[in-house]
Amino acid sequence: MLIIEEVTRRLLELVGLRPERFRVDWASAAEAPLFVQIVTNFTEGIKKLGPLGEAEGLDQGTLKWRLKAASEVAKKSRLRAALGSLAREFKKAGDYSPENISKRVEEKIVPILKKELFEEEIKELLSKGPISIDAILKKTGATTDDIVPILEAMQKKGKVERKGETLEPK
Amino acid sequence: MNFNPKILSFFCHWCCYAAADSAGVARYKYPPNNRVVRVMCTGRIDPLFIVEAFRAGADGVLVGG
Repeated sequence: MLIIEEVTRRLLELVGLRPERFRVDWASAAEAPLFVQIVTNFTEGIKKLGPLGEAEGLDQGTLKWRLKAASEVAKKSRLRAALGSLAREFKKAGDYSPENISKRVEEKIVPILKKELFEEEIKELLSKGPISIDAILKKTGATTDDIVPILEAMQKKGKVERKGETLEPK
Repeated sequence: MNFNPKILSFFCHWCCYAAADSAGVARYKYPPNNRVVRVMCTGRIDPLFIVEAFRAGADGVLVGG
Protein backbone atom coordinates (compact mmCIF):
# COMPACT_ATOMS: atom_id res chain seq x y z
CA MET A 1 0.00 0.00 0.00
CA LEU A 2 2.85 2.40 0.78
CA ILE A 3 4.32 1.86 -2.67
CA ILE A 4 0.95 2.19 -4.38
CA GLU A 5 0.33 5.38 -2.42
CA GLU A 6 3.59 6.92 -3.62
CA VAL A 7 2.99 5.83 -7.22
CA THR A 8 -0.55 7.22 -7.22
CA ARG A 9 0.67 10.46 -5.71
CA ARG A 10 3.27 10.86 -8.44
CA LEU A 11 0.74 10.06 -11.17
CA LEU A 12 -1.73 12.65 -9.85
CA GLU A 13 1.11 15.16 -9.63
CA LEU A 14 1.89 14.61 -13.33
CA VAL A 15 -1.79 15.07 -14.16
CA GLY A 16 -1.56 18.38 -12.29
CA LEU A 17 -3.73 17.69 -9.25
CA ARG A 18 -2.92 18.99 -5.78
CA PRO A 19 -1.43 16.23 -3.58
CA GLU A 20 -3.80 17.18 -0.73
CA ARG A 21 -6.69 15.66 -2.67
CA PHE A 22 -5.45 12.15 -2.05
CA ARG A 23 -4.64 10.85 1.38
CA VAL A 24 -3.92 7.51 2.95
CA ASP A 25 -4.31 7.23 6.70
CA TRP A 26 -4.76 4.63 9.39
CA ALA A 27 -7.21 4.16 12.23
CA SER A 28 -7.83 0.86 13.93
CA ALA A 29 -11.28 -0.50 14.72
CA ALA A 30 -10.93 0.76 18.30
CA GLU A 31 -10.01 4.32 17.33
CA ALA A 32 -13.33 5.92 16.47
CA PRO A 33 -12.29 9.41 17.72
CA LEU A 34 -9.13 9.27 15.59
CA PHE A 35 -11.20 8.20 12.61
CA VAL A 36 -13.59 11.12 13.09
CA GLN A 37 -10.62 13.46 13.30
CA ILE A 38 -9.08 12.10 10.08
CA VAL A 39 -12.32 12.38 8.11
CA THR A 40 -13.08 15.87 9.47
CA ASN A 41 -9.59 17.20 8.70
CA PHE A 42 -9.60 15.74 5.21
CA THR A 43 -13.05 17.14 4.42
CA GLU A 44 -12.02 20.58 5.69
CA GLY A 45 -8.91 20.44 3.51
CA ILE A 46 -10.93 19.60 0.40
CA LYS A 47 -13.45 22.33 1.21
CA LYS A 48 -10.62 24.83 1.28
CA LEU A 49 -9.31 23.61 -2.08
CA GLY A 50 -12.71 23.85 -3.72
CA PRO A 51 -14.04 21.71 -6.56
CA LEU A 52 -11.65 19.55 -8.56
CA GLY A 53 -9.62 21.73 -10.90
CA GLU A 54 -10.24 25.03 -9.12
CA ALA A 55 -7.14 25.14 -6.91
CA GLU A 56 -5.18 23.58 -9.78
CA GLY A 57 -6.25 26.19 -12.30
CA LEU A 58 -7.35 23.51 -14.76
CA ASP A 59 -10.57 23.77 -16.73
CA GLN A 60 -12.97 20.82 -16.83
CA GLY A 61 -12.04 19.83 -20.40
CA THR A 62 -8.30 19.63 -19.72
CA LEU A 63 -8.94 17.80 -16.47
CA LYS A 64 -11.19 15.16 -18.04
CA TRP A 65 -8.77 14.63 -20.86
CA ARG A 66 -5.68 14.31 -18.67
CA LEU A 67 -7.42 11.96 -16.24
CA LYS A 68 -8.50 9.79 -19.14
CA ALA A 69 -4.87 9.49 -20.22
CA ALA A 70 -3.87 8.74 -16.60
CA SER A 71 -6.42 5.96 -16.38
CA GLU A 72 -5.02 4.43 -19.58
CA VAL A 73 -1.55 4.58 -18.02
CA ALA A 74 -2.74 2.86 -14.85
CA LYS A 75 -3.95 -0.04 -16.99
CA LYS A 76 -0.63 -0.48 -18.83
CA SER A 77 0.96 -3.86 -18.38
CA ARG A 78 4.39 -2.24 -18.42
CA LEU A 79 3.52 -0.27 -15.28
CA ARG A 80 1.99 -3.35 -13.67
CA ALA A 81 5.08 -5.41 -14.32
CA ALA A 82 7.34 -2.69 -12.92
CA LEU A 83 5.18 -2.44 -9.78
CA GLY A 84 5.35 -6.17 -9.33
CA SER A 85 9.11 -6.37 -9.58
CA LEU A 86 9.50 -3.36 -7.29
CA ALA A 87 7.26 -5.01 -4.69
CA ARG A 88 9.37 -8.15 -4.89
CA GLU A 89 12.53 -6.13 -4.46
CA PHE A 90 11.10 -4.42 -1.35
CA LYS A 91 10.04 -7.71 0.14
CA LYS A 92 13.54 -9.07 -0.27
CA ALA A 93 15.34 -6.01 1.14
CA GLY A 94 12.75 -5.27 3.82
CA ASP A 95 13.40 -1.53 3.93
CA TYR A 96 9.99 0.15 3.85
CA SER A 97 11.10 3.58 5.08
CA PRO A 98 9.36 6.50 3.33
CA GLU A 99 12.69 7.80 2.01
CA ASN A 100 13.57 4.49 0.43
CA ILE A 101 10.11 4.07 -1.10
CA SER A 102 10.15 7.55 -2.57
CA LYS A 103 13.67 7.05 -3.89
CA ARG A 104 12.99 3.70 -5.57
CA VAL A 105 9.65 4.87 -7.00
CA GLU A 106 11.38 7.95 -8.39
CA GLU A 107 14.03 5.79 -10.04
CA LYS A 108 11.90 2.92 -11.29
CA ILE A 109 8.30 4.02 -11.73
CA VAL A 110 8.27 7.76 -12.41
CA PRO A 111 10.09 7.49 -15.77
CA ILE A 112 7.50 4.94 -16.91
CA LEU A 113 4.64 7.11 -15.68
CA LYS A 114 6.02 10.15 -17.47
CA LYS A 115 6.67 8.38 -20.74
CA GLU A 116 3.36 6.53 -20.87
CA LEU A 117 1.27 9.48 -19.71
CA PHE A 118 2.72 12.01 -22.09
CA GLU A 119 2.74 9.54 -24.97
CA GLU A 120 -0.93 8.84 -24.34
CA GLU A 121 -1.69 12.56 -24.23
CA ILE A 122 0.31 13.36 -27.37
CA LYS A 123 -1.44 10.56 -29.28
CA GLU A 124 -4.78 11.94 -28.20
CA LEU A 125 -3.80 15.46 -29.30
CA LEU A 126 -2.48 14.27 -32.65
CA SER A 127 -5.67 12.36 -33.35
CA LYS A 128 -7.38 15.74 -33.58
CA GLY A 129 -5.00 17.00 -36.26
CA PRO A 130 -1.67 18.82 -36.65
CA ILE A 131 -0.39 20.59 -33.57
CA SER A 132 2.62 22.72 -32.61
CA ILE A 133 5.14 21.67 -29.99
CA ASP A 134 4.29 24.72 -27.89
CA ALA A 135 0.65 23.69 -27.84
CA ILE A 136 1.61 20.17 -26.73
CA LEU A 137 3.72 21.56 -23.90
CA LYS A 138 0.88 23.81 -22.81
CA LYS A 139 -1.79 21.13 -22.98
CA THR A 140 0.16 18.38 -21.24
CA GLY A 141 1.97 20.56 -18.70
CA ALA A 142 5.15 18.58 -19.48
CA THR A 143 8.66 19.94 -19.82
CA THR A 144 10.59 19.86 -23.11
CA ASP A 145 12.94 17.22 -21.70
CA ASP A 146 9.97 14.96 -21.06
CA ILE A 147 8.40 15.07 -24.48
CA VAL A 148 11.37 15.31 -26.87
CA PRO A 149 12.37 11.61 -26.51
CA ILE A 150 8.73 10.57 -26.95
CA LEU A 151 8.34 12.64 -30.10
CA GLU A 152 11.61 11.29 -31.49
CA ALA A 153 10.47 7.72 -30.88
CA MET A 154 7.15 8.44 -32.55
CA GLN A 155 8.93 9.97 -35.54
CA LYS A 156 11.12 6.91 -35.84
CA LYS A 157 8.07 4.67 -35.88
CA GLY A 158 6.66 6.87 -38.62
CA LYS A 159 3.61 7.83 -36.60
CA VAL A 160 4.26 11.52 -36.80
CA GLU A 161 5.92 13.93 -39.19
CA ARG A 162 7.69 17.07 -38.10
CA LYS A 163 7.38 20.18 -40.23
CA GLY A 164 9.28 22.96 -38.55
CA GLU A 165 7.51 23.59 -35.26
CA THR A 166 4.36 21.73 -36.21
CA LEU A 167 3.67 18.02 -35.89
CA GLU A 168 1.44 16.18 -38.28
CA PRO A 169 -0.09 12.77 -37.66
CA LYS A 170 0.47 10.16 -40.34
CA MET B 1 -18.88 29.13 0.78
CA ASN B 2 -21.57 26.53 0.32
CA PHE B 3 -19.36 24.05 -1.39
CA ASN B 4 -20.06 20.46 -0.45
CA PRO B 5 -17.16 18.37 -1.67
CA LYS B 6 -17.70 14.86 -2.91
CA ILE B 7 -15.21 12.59 -1.23
CA LEU B 8 -14.76 8.96 -2.10
CA SER B 9 -13.33 6.84 0.67
CA PHE B 10 -11.92 3.36 0.47
CA PHE B 11 -12.04 1.78 3.90
CA CYS B 12 -10.53 -1.46 5.03
CA HIS B 13 -13.17 -3.84 6.34
CA TRP B 14 -11.17 -4.61 9.47
CA CYS B 15 -9.92 -1.15 10.46
CA CYS B 16 -11.42 2.11 9.27
CA TYR B 17 -14.76 0.59 8.31
CA ALA B 18 -15.14 -0.83 11.80
CA ALA B 19 -13.93 2.48 13.26
CA ALA B 20 -16.61 4.29 11.22
CA ASP B 21 -19.14 1.85 12.56
CA SER B 22 -18.17 2.38 16.17
CA ALA B 23 -18.01 6.15 15.62
CA GLY B 24 -21.62 5.91 14.53
CA VAL B 25 -22.60 3.78 17.51
CA ALA B 26 -20.87 6.22 19.88
CA ARG B 27 -22.72 9.09 18.13
CA TYR B 28 -19.64 11.04 17.17
CA LYS B 29 -20.34 13.74 14.61
CA TYR B 30 -18.39 13.92 11.36
CA PRO B 31 -18.97 15.53 7.96
CA PRO B 32 -21.44 13.72 5.68
CA ASN B 33 -19.42 14.22 2.49
CA ASN B 34 -18.02 10.72 2.37
CA ARG B 35 -19.09 8.03 -0.02
CA VAL B 36 -17.57 4.87 1.35
CA VAL B 37 -16.40 1.89 -0.61
CA ARG B 38 -15.52 -1.05 1.60
CA VAL B 39 -12.55 -3.15 0.59
CA MET B 40 -11.38 -6.24 2.39
CA CYS B 41 -7.89 -4.75 2.77
CA THR B 42 -6.24 -1.54 1.59
CA GLY B 43 -3.81 -3.78 -0.28
CA ARG B 44 -6.65 -4.23 -2.75
CA ILE B 45 -6.39 -0.55 -3.80
CA ASP B 46 -4.93 0.16 -7.19
CA PRO B 47 -3.82 3.48 -8.72
CA LEU B 48 -6.55 2.97 -11.30
CA PHE B 49 -9.26 3.16 -8.59
CA ILE B 50 -8.06 6.57 -7.49
CA VAL B 51 -7.77 7.97 -11.01
CA GLU B 52 -11.22 6.64 -11.90
CA ALA B 53 -12.63 8.22 -8.74
CA PHE B 54 -11.37 11.63 -9.82
CA ARG B 55 -12.63 11.01 -13.33
CA ALA B 56 -16.07 10.22 -11.99
CA GLY B 57 -16.17 13.59 -10.26
CA ALA B 58 -14.73 13.10 -6.77
CA ASP B 59 -13.07 16.19 -5.28
CA GLY B 60 -10.93 14.12 -2.96
CA VAL B 61 -10.06 10.50 -2.29
CA LEU B 62 -9.36 9.13 1.18
CA VAL B 63 -7.94 5.69 1.78
CA GLY B 64 -8.37 4.39 5.32
CA GLY B 65 -6.46 1.39 6.52
